[in-house]
Amino acid sequence: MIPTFLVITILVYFLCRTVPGGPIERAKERIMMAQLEEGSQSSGSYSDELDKFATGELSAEDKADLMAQYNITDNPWSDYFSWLGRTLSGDLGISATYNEPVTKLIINRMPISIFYGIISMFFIYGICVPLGVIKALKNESLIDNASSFFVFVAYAIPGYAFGAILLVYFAGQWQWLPLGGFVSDQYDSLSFWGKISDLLQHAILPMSCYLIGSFAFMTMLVKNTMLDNLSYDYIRTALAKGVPYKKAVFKHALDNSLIPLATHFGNSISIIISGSFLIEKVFNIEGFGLLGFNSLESRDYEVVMGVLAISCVLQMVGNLLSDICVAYVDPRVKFD
Amino acid sequence: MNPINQQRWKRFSKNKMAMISLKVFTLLTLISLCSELFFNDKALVVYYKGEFHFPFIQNAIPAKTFGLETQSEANYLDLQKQFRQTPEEGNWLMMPFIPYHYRSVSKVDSTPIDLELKNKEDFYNTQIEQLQQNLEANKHQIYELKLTRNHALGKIDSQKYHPLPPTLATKHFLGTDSTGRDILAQLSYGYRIAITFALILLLINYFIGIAIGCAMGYLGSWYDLLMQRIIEVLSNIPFLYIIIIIASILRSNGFTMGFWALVGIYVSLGWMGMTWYMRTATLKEKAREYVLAARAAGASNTRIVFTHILPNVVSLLVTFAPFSISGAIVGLTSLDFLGYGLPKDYPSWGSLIKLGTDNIQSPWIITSIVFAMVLILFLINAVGEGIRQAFDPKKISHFE
Repeated sequence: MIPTFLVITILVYFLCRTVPGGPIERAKERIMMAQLEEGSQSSGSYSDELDKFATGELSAEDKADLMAQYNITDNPWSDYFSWLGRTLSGDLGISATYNEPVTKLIINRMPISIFYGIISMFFIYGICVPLGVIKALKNESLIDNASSFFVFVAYAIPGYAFGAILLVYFAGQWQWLPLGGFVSDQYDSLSFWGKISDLLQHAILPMSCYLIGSFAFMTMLVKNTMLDNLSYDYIRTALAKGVPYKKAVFKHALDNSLIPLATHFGNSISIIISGSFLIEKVFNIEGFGLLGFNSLESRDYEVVMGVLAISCVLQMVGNLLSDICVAYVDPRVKFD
Repeated sequence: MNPINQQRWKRFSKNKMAMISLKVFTLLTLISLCSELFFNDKALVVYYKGEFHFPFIQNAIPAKTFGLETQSEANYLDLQKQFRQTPEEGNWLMMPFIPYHYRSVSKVDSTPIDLELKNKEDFYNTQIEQLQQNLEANKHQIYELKLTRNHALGKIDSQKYHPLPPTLATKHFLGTDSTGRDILAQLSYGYRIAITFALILLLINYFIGIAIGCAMGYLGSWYDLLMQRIIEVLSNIPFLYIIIIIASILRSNGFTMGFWALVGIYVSLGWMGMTWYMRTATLKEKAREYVLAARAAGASNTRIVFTHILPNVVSLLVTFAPFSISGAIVGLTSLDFLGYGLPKDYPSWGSLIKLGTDNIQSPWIITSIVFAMVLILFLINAVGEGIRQAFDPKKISHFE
C-alpha cells in the first residue's frame, strides 16, 4: 500500500512539474501584463517601451520569494521529499488560485461530498438489498422481468449523462428545480425549514444521478448472489431437515449474499467522500471532486497534489474497511 | 466450432432479448460504419449529360463539371433543385437519406411574418404581441425582428437561429446544434469513432492481457511477483488525472492528443484488468489434470500453453468483451465531455453532451445524445448478459 502511494504521488508530482503554466510562470505573466499597462500609459512610443519593460523577467529576489512560497527549488527530488514531509505532518501547502491553505480548502469541500455520499448510500442499500432479494425469489416472474428492464436501462446510463438530461428538462425547460449549485445564494437569510427545502431542491437531481449508477449494479449483484446461494445444497439440506422456508432464505441465504456487498462497502466509502466530479461538474456543485478537477484545469498544483494524496489515503482506508466488513459478515475470514 | 461452443451458441440464440439486441446493434453499427452512404452532403450518384459521377467516394469534383459557375465543389442540394427545375435535360442526382455530413452547416431560412397593421401607432404594440405569439408558438425558436420604417407597411423579416428543433421538412430529424450542424449525422459519425476506439482498445488489451497474463500464471516465481506489484500500482493511479495532465502537457507544447495517442494512454493505464483475469485463469488451468497428463506425455512448455491452456482460457474472454466495449465508449465520452478527449474537429458524443448542457433552451440536443447512448449501451449490455448466461450453464433452482 505505501509503495503504491509513493509511486503514484511521485508520478503525478513529476508530471505536474513538467507542465508549463505553473505558479512561477503565472507570476511572470502577471508581471508582464502589469508592465505592459504601465508602459503604454507612460509614453507615446509604445513599441520601444514594450521592449524595455515587458520582458516578463522576474527579479532574482521576486523569483526566490515565489519559489519559497510554493516550496520549489531547482531539484525536483528534494522538492518531492519536502512535499512528502509536509504532507505527512498535515500541511498541504497554499493554493495558488485561492491563496488559502489547501487543507482548509479540502476541509471546506468535504461536507458537501459527504452529504451526497451518505444519503445516496442510505438509499442504495435501502432499495437495492430488498429489491435484489425480491427479484431473486421471484426469478423470471413479471416483477423480476419488468424491474430487470429498468435496471438494465439504468445500468446503461452514465450518471453524468443522466444528470445532463435531468438538468435540461427539470431545471431548464420546466423550471421546477434549481439549475445547480449546492444551495442558493440567499441560503443564509432563509428560515430553518426554508433552508431544508432549499437544500433538498438542490439535492434531488444530483442525488438521482449518484443513485442511478450504483443502484443498477448493486441490485443485480444482490440478485445474482442470492440466486447462487439459493441453488446451493446447504439450502436444500436446511429445507430438508425442516428449517422454515423464511428462515432458510432470510437467515442462511441472505447472510451469505451480503458478503460481496461487504467487499464493495469500502469502495463506496471512498466514492462517498471524494464524490464524482463528473456529476459535480454537470450540476456545478463545489465538492471535493470538482475542486480536484478545477485545480487541474487552473494548474494549481499544490491543490492537485493535496487532493490526490487524500484520495489515495481514502482508497486505502476503503480497502481496509472492506476487509473488516468481510471479516465481520463472513465467519470463514479471520484476521491473524 | 467445438461441441461446447455449439452448445453455448444454442443457449445464446435461445435468449430472445440478447438475440434481438445483437441484431439491432449489428445493424446500427453497420449503418454507422458506412456513415458516408447515409449521412452526407455529397450526392451518391449524379447523372449529368450522359455521364455518371459518384461524388461521395470521389475527391472533390469541381462544380464546373456540372455546369455551375462556382469555383469550389458543388452544393448538391442546390444542384438537385436546379435539375428538378429543368427535367427536360434528363439530369438527375440522388442524395443520401440524410443530406448532411457531420461537418456541413446548414443555412437558416428567413421567413417573413405578415403583420396586419391598422396604423403606425399600433405598430410597436403589435410588434411586441406578435413577438410573444411567435415565441409561444415556436417555443425554442428565437426570432430577431429587423424593424425598419418600411416594415410598418406590413411585413417583418424574421430570422431563425440555430440550434433549430427537429423538422421533417429540412430533414434535420433530430434538429441542429448551435452552429447549424445536423445532430443525427453527428451521432452517427461520433458513434463510429467511439466504437472503433472501443474495438481497437479491446484487441490491444486482450493481446497484452493474454501475453502477460498467461506468462504470469504459467511461469510464476519472480516474474509473477514483479508484475503483480506493477499492476497493483498502475491500477491505483487516478486515470482521469493522468490523462488530463498529459493532455495539458501535449497541448502546451503545441500538440493535440489525437486518436492514437488517446488509444496509447488508455492501453498503458488499462491493460491490467484483462491481464489479471488471464493470470488467475491460467493458474487455475495449470493445476488441472490434463496439463499434468500433457506434461507426463512429454509436451514442451510452448505446446502446453498454446495448444492446451490457451484455447480453454481464451473462449472465456468473449464474456468480457461487451462490457469492455461499453466501458471504453463511456470512458471516451466522458473525456470528450470534459474537453480532454479527441481534438475539437472530431464528431463526438461527449462534446454533444457538453453542447446539450450548454444549450438548455434546446432540449432536443441532449435528448438525442442521451437516448442514443442509452440505446447503444443497453444493446451491448444485453448481448453481454446473454453471453454470460450462455457460458454459465448453472441451473437455477426454485424453492416454494
